[in-house]
Amino acid sequence: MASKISKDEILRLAKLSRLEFSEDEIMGLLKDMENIMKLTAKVEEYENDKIYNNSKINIHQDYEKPEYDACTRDEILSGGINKNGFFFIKKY
Amino acid sequence: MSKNKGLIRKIHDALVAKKVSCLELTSWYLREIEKSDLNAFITVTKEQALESAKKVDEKINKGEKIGLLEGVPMSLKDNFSTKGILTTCGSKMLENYVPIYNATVYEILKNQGCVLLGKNNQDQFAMGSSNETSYFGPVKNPHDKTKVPGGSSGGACASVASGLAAFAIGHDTGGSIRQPAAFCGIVGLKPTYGAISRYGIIPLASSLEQAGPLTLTVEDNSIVYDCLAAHDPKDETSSKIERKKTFNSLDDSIEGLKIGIPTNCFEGSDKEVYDAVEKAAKFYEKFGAKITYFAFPEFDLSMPVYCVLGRAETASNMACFDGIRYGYKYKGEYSDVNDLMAKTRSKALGDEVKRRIILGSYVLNTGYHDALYKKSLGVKKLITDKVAEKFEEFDILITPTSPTTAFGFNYAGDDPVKMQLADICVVNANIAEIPALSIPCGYDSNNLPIGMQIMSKCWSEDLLFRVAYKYEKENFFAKIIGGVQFEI
Amino acid sequence: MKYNLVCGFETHIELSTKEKLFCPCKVKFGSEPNSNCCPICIGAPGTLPALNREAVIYAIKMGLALNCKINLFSKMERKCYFYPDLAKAYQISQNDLPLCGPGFVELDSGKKIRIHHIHIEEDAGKIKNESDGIYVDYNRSGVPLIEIVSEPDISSIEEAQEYIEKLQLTARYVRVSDARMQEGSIRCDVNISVKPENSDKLGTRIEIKNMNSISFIAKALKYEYERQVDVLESGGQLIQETRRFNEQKNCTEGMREKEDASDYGYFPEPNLPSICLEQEKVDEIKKNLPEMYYSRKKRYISLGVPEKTASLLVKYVNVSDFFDSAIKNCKSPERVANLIIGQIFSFLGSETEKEEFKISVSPQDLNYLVNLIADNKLNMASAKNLLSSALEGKGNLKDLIDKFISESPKFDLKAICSDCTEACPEAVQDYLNGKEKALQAIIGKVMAKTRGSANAAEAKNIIISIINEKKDVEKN
Repeated sequence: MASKISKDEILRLAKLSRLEFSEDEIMGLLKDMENIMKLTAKVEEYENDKIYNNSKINIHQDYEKPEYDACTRDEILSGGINKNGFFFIKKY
Repeated sequence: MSKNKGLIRKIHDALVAKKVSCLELTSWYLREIEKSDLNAFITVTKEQALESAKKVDEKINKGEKIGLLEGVPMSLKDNFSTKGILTTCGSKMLENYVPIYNATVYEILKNQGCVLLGKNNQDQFAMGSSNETSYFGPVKNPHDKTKVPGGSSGGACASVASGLAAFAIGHDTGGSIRQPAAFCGIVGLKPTYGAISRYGIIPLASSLEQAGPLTLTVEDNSIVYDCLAAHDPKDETSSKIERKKTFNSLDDSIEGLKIGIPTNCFEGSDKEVYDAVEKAAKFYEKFGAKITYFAFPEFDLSMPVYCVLGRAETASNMACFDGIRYGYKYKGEYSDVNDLMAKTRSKALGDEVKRRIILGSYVLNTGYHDALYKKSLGVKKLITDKVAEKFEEFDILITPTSPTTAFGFNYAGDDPVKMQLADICVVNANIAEIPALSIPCGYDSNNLPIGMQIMSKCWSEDLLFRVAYKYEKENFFAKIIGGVQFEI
Repeated sequence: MKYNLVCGFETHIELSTKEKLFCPCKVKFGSEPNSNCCPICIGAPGTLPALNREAVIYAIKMGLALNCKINLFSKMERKCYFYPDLAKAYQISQNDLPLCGPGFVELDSGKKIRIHHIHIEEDAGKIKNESDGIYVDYNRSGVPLIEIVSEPDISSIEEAQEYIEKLQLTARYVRVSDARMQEGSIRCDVNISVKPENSDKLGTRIEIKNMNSISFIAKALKYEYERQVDVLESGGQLIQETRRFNEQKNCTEGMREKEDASDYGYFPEPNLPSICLEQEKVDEIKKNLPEMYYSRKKRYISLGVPEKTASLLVKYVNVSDFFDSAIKNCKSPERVANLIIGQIFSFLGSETEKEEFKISVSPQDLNYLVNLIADNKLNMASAKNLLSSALEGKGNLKDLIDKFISESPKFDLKAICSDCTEACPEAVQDYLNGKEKALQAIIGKVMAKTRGSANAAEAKNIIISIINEKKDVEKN
């Protein structure tokens, strides 16, 4: 594992996460991440197989289907920019 | 049942005996909220509250029976989706977001006839331990307004502690119910993972978080827990196990209790906190409890595991906020849809949120994910198994809830690790999926409350309440600071 | 140098479950934009997925039909990327532990195209790019999909076409999807590379995304094969990339650089526990799978249906089902087959109509018709007329047949045959001299007298017996 995180790496992750940072913010992030990675380094010492959570969905078991309140189309569209019933993203 | 009634039963009795109408009561609370300068509420649902109060009064006046929680004024942390009611999650991103559906928790409380007073301030997207990351400004601690209330459910805890709500519902991913409960001197439960539905809670880290009650007394907490703990088919992680009702067994015997004290959880605690919690643990010796001190190194892994799993899940849970379907929309010009998303997110997400997204993204990408995320899942399992083993030896584990009492604003400065370490004792229960309760166990020399955390094995909330109830009965510490006063 | 084509498919098939994968919204098409949506479909914050068990069963059926190992333990994962049609900014899919393990599709040549795995995932919404902006519709968001990932075993355009057709057929036979390319319920990403004939080393892989027509796949493969060979022959180098097929220009074009696969940040979906199955239940599903097209075809051939006809019958599952009902207690399965692919098919115009096979004739009535022909109670010409009338909706076939028979002029076929034979002594003589064809003259007379309603074959038999009788009488 890389203990040093590069500025380029931060920029790549920022692009991937659709976030923008100023130069100062990036320097701050580098410091924070190194601190957090020092903390998480402890996890590295453990060898483990793939282990997932204990609970399971048994497909064959009887299953109580959830019931939801109905939503109108206007409600669905209420949080976005509604154009002709579509969510609209304006082009410049 | 004990002579010490909790607040909920007192309110219930007063309503039934018509000593006060629900409308009067609700108006008192609303007035106190208005007067308060704690910044504990983001939204006050005055009209809805008065409306529901009137309905309760009508029922009472017609001589109909009302439920224990019916007409009890309460509040919700602002990350529970409430249809038609602003749900901001303490963020600029959701400053104007009005959900189109209800969280199951709210649905249950509504059906019980509870009166929703409003939505409580919180750390932005529940990321923080001091309530300072809220877009709507920090909440003040009712015990000392120069101190933080803790977080992320800071507004909810401050409301209960200062008589602005009879109870509140918080949400706990790595201590967000218990740590602020301790700082505000009230009772807070993080139930077993899967006990209470997560449907409709705007998520932080889905595999770790649970909703839970914030109350003045243990009895109140048990009543609210009994009401909320139920299987919900809308949440596949909600367990089908039958939940034990806890209220009826509150006063049962705890004779011969085996108490474990993991000493490493006391390291780094302030001396006053250490002493108060140890003294509180020793209280149980009069019931024949046996106290054993032991080191539990696995708990030292909880915070690293929490950081990895929590950040990764957070990064993907936050990704939906792209400005298209809901939430903040960037108003200026942009070159393409990716640019729009980046500008929207950069403008409307707070620094701590962005920090965690980048770290989560780091954990999940660059082939790093096998090395760290899955390893952390493995270590989580290891901790869970070791904890389960410990509970073959002990009935309960006792630790401080927080190593300190409430700290001042800007305590951690720019160091997110320091802030994270405020949760060092509480995070274990989230990783091990076990229930944990924080109750007040005294005050420090500055008159700030100290919290004791009691943990037990999965699905034994009843035992937690029983143990806490015994303590509360003989050493009562909770008090309402201002607000609506009900004598307890 | 000669180059071989190396090709693998990632095929998405929409499952025709009643409801979406994680919410109870209906799986249907052609609704108004964003009208078939709920908070879960648009990824409203705080919503959680509730797994549609039916979709898992559908995926298991497909896996079993493609000879796959079914994993009793599998896991949903989040595939994280930003795109306006992806409501949660992650797709719930499977990665490490898919539902179905290795399997294969057997081509007619006997060659097996290996399947690497099949996994379940949710579909995304749809975007429309217009001059003023992007329009997003989430109706399709959350529709259940299976992705069938093949090994790079396909080495010709014909194999590629056959592979896709076999997947379509399989999906239709196990009734998990109508698998229609034109409606997007089956879509392919194709991976293509070329390698020198004698080399074992795989060439640089090019991916062509979102192919939704078999003929486009063929064209794209042809174009891409030639392009890659050209690049290599002229000493150039291929770069691994994603291309798109341009339907107007009939060629493939490079797409903008996409995020690297390792950037998807897969991790286990924390909102969904692992999916567990029981072997006995899986065996039960396997036992109850409908008979597949290849074994039906064999069975039809064994019933005397010519191979070509049998292939046409199994090409459409509804046709095959209809045929199977019609041949119960039938005296001539072959004749049933011929009527279907001859007369009924010509009545149905498009492929879709053949697939749907919604006709106004029941298999029982067709059976009735064919048995009457076999018993010489109805001649072929009349039978065809009756069938046409029924197909055109002029009435129920059985009623039409019964009416026709009851209204047929009553006559004594034997007497008429006797008269006609008497009237044609030359024809009789020719017949007795070994010219069997000579009987046609007598039969013609019989048909004329009965206005075509006599059964020619029956008449012929009667005439022969009359002649023979006469001959015997004369001998004695």
